[in-house]
Amino acid sequence: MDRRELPHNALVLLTALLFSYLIYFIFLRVPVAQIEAGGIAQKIFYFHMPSAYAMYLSGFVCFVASAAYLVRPTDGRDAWARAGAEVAVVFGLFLLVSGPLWAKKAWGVYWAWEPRLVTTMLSVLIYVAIVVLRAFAGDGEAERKFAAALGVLGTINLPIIHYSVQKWGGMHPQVVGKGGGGLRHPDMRSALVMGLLVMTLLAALLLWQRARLAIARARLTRAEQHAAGLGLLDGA
Amino acid sequence: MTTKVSMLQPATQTPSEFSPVSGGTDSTSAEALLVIAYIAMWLLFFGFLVLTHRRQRGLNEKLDHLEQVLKNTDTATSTEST
Repeated sequence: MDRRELPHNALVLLTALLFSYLIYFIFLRVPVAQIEAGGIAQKIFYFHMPSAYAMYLSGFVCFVASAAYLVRPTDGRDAWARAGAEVAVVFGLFLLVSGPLWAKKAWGVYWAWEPRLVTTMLSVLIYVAIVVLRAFAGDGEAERKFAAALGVLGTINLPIIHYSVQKWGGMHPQVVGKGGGGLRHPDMRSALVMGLLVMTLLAALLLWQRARLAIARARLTRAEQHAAGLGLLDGA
Repeated sequence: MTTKVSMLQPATQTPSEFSPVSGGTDSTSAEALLVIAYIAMWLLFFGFLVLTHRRQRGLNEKLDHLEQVLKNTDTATSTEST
């Protein structure tokens, strides 16, 4: 095995182990919540809320890398910006799938046009726009800069999602933090802490893999340009 | 119209805390929703991981091949010039 792959493989193993243990813990140790919170469906919460946090984290990576790219463009910065947007889409999609499934039981409806849900969907759509732009609009300097600008501007919506419940109310529960009643059982709290840890590791792993992929793609493009310049790709 | 609006209201008051209760596992539909959410999670996260891994492997193979071709060309060119 390649020694350079060791940290990556260690992260994969650690994430997989903690992920498996968390699922065991949620299903077999954490008690069922009251029926108003969705009963057994409330167990979605231990992955749902950490996914929102992981989306913020990925969005923040996209923001920092995009801003850095706009200051001084490099392949590495572009790769991390692209990876941040892609991973934010994955966590955002899970958020938008798991939330309605839980809401069906807790609220009686899958979807409600209330502030947090709408602002979350808006953020996910912004990151989808970046991913689609990078996938289909080419890999030129202009496209990269446009995507980076979108990555910076799109991040403005993340704090709005966070404070939307406090600012505008709505149906979305504020359980943890200011105004929330909290989790009333130690195992519920442990599951949430573990969920946050697992999602952080998973986000780090996905970001690492996607950034590496984007860097390899940029290297391949340069190698192809070099080969084409030498007339080596004429027969291809 | 009035019926539709009333259907969008929450079934009960929105809770501000989660507290454990006994006997709350008898709802089949809640279990189905939970299972669907977990299946969606596995499909999304691990599907994305596997897809990325496979794409990376394919790219690395292409890149290795191309860099080898370029290296051979550079070697041949430098031999010719000497």
